[in-house]
Amino acid sequence: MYARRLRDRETEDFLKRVEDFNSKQYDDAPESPQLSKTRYLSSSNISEEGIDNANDLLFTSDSASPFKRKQYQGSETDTLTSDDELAYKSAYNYEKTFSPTKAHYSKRDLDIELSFRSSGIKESGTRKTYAVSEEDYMLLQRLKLDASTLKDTPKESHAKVPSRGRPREELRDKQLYSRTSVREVDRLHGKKTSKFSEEEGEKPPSLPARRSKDTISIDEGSAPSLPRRKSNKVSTLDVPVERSVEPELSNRNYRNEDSNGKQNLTTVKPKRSVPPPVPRKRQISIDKSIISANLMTDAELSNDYLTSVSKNRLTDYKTLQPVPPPSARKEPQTPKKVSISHLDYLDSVQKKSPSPPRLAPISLKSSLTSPMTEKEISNSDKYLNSALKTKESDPKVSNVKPRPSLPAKPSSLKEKNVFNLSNTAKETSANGKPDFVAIKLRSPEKPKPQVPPKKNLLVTHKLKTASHDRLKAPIEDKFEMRKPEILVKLNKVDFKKNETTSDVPEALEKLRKLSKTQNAPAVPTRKISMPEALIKAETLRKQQVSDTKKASEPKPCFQDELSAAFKKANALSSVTSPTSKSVLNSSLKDAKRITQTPLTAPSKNERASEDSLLHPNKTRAKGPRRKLPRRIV
Amino acid sequence: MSTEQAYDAALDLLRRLDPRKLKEHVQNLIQLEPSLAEDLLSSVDTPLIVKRDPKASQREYLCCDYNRDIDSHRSPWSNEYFPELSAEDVQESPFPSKNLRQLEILANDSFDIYRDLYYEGGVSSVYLWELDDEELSDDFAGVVLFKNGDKTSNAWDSIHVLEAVREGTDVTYRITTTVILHLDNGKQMTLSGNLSRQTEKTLAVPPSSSTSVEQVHVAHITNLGTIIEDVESQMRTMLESVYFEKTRDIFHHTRNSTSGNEEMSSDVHQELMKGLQSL
Repeated sequence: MYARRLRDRETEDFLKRVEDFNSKQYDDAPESPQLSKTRYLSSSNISEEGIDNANDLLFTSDSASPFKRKQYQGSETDTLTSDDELAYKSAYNYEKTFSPTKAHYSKRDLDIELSFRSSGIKESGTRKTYAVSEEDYMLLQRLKLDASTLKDTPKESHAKVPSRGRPREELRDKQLYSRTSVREVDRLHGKKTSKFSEEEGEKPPSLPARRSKDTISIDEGSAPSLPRRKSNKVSTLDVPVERSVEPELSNRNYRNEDSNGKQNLTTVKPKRSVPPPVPRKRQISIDKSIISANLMTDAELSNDYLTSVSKNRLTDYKTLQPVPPPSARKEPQTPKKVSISHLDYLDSVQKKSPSPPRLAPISLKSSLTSPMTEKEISNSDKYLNSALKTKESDPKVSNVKPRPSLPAKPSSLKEKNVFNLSNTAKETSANGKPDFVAIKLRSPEKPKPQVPPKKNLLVTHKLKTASHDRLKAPIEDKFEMRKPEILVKLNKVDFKKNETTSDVPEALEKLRKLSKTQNAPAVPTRKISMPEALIKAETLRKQQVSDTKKASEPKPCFQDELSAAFKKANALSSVTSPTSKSVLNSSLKDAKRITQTPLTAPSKNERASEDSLLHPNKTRAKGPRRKLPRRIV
Repeated sequence: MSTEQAYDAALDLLRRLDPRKLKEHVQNLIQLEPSLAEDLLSSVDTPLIVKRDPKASQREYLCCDYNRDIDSHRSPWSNEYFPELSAEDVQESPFPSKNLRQLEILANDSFDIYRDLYYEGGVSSVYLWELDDEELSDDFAGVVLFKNGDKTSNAWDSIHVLEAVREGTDVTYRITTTVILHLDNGKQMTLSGNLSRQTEKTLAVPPSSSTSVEQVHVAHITNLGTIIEDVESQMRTMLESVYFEKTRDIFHHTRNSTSGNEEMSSDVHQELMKGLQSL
């Protein structure tokens, strides 16, 4: 919108320049009537007098001649020349070409203007005076021609009909309705309804466009039937009543003009007097009449709106309260669509409001409680009854059944051995499902303090069985199921011991235990490794050797003496004869044999010790012949 | 002191010294007694060195004293010494005969597969040489080397020195295996040592005269492979028993000794007893 306004300003500026240029060229006064009118149009504020005159001309004139007379009467000294026209056309063309397509419009923007201007000029050919402003005159001419050509080419006329623009926006601000309400209507009825709501403005400039739209919409539905009926209504109705009527009816009358000219005169007269602001209630009632007319047959549509209102007030709720079958609904739906476009949003709210509150609770309740049939939904009483029935029935079913079975069974369970799982399992299997269900339901109701006495009884029962039969396997298995694994293991161990003790008396067992404990200290001896043992053995041997050496200490002394003697003898022998040498040698050999024998005995032990240190690498292959390294690693 | 005694003494010393500094100890001993250098270098197994063969697309090979000449090591892939020796040195340096070289190539290929299967990584090398000067004899000796470990000091080195002596249709294989294990987990704990065992086994190998040389080679490889496979598995279990059981014994010994201490408080003693009971 802001951009459009900017554009308009630009065009206005441009037009001003053109006007200034023209004024300079022809030395005309700047405030010529023509220019003032253009300015007036640019602001798009049209005087009410002009509109009234236009309405008079439009609805009274059948031919072009009275218009011409009025034009001449109301005309001022028009200074239009061919140059002016050219300037004006250029300005108009510029605006038309460069300005975007506008939802709003001014009369300058219309194609009509040029065509009528040209046509008007052709007709006049000279200076003309206008009773009405030139633009109003042209618009009226255009509308008249459109009305005449509606029957032949409705689509073309519809295409040329302008859409409301700026003047309506200005009117909106003055309207009593808030924009929010208009938006609501837009949501409900679309663009047509929003425009229709805008038409509620009191200012006359909005009227002609409204008429054109309404005529088009209603002609589609029921054009031929209307004129006959209206003639009857006008005769019956009073004039002040018609003055209070909204311009929508006048639109209908205008549409009827084409078919019946006489009747139009009666309808146009009250409009000359400025229509008082129409209260909304009446508007709504009229709209309702339209809807009801659409719902009703074609014969009913011919009635006047007051009769229709009176009927509708009765019929609207009557028709809506009983929901008709879908087959009956289908037929009037097509006219409804046409009529809904004309509805005010208040009408729509009033008519639609009763329907949703009826349907909505049904759908919600049905979804929550239980799936309901369509027949039940239609009858609210049935639905409520059914809902109440369902609410009552559900809790009864769930609560009543389990309770009676509860008190009987815990007593039976107390009497029996609860801890024998096999027995309980058999009971449950024998009783079947209901017992199992009952047990489940009892569990929350059971008081907890009842359980401990059962355990005490069982403990005593355990001891009794154990005292009679120590090695009963089935009882053990039952207890194993409940005891932890450690206790089970301990029991097993105890039983094994008992088995051994059963055969052997206790004294012998104790003896065995004692013997085991006596053997126990031998364990650390195992830890002694072999090398340590060998070392000890070696030390012992060395000790023995040392002892033997100590024992044989006098012998080496003797041998030493002998050796010394032999050495002396050798020394002498070197000097003495060889015979003596041989004797000495033989004696020495014997001595050596003697001496070696005692000496070799410890050396063998030493060799044995050395054998343990033999190096296997020493005997392995030494590799090929090679030179030594220059530096050793 | 004779050289043999010195040799034995040196071996005894090396057995008792820190295995992590084995090379330093060998170096010191050679400096002390240079006549023992050849024997010590050949008999003392040190951690294997990995080198790359530039003529075999930088393929890795293991180096020990058996494939060394001067300061170079022979590659089993290209049968050349790296770093390259002078022409004179190369002429004097040892190389296997053609027949034995074929066996060496086959052995390298087969033990490489073995290494891939058992070690899932590492490097393997096989070096062979003639025991006798006569090339016609079927007797030969060699070394099969495996090394697996990361670039740190953690490594498993297994050295199998083998001798194959033919006695008719049978061949006696004497294999001296040394496993050097070194585990170093930073400053917390280091565990290293070596274990040597010698095994001898006689297996039937068809003579080269009756069958083709290739079949003989395959027979040797199969025999050696089976023996080494068995020896390695045994050595592994022995290492577990020697290294880890020994440490366990030490652990138990220290605990038992503390339990016997009279000065220990009764509370600590009870805790130890509880710990023993829990075991």
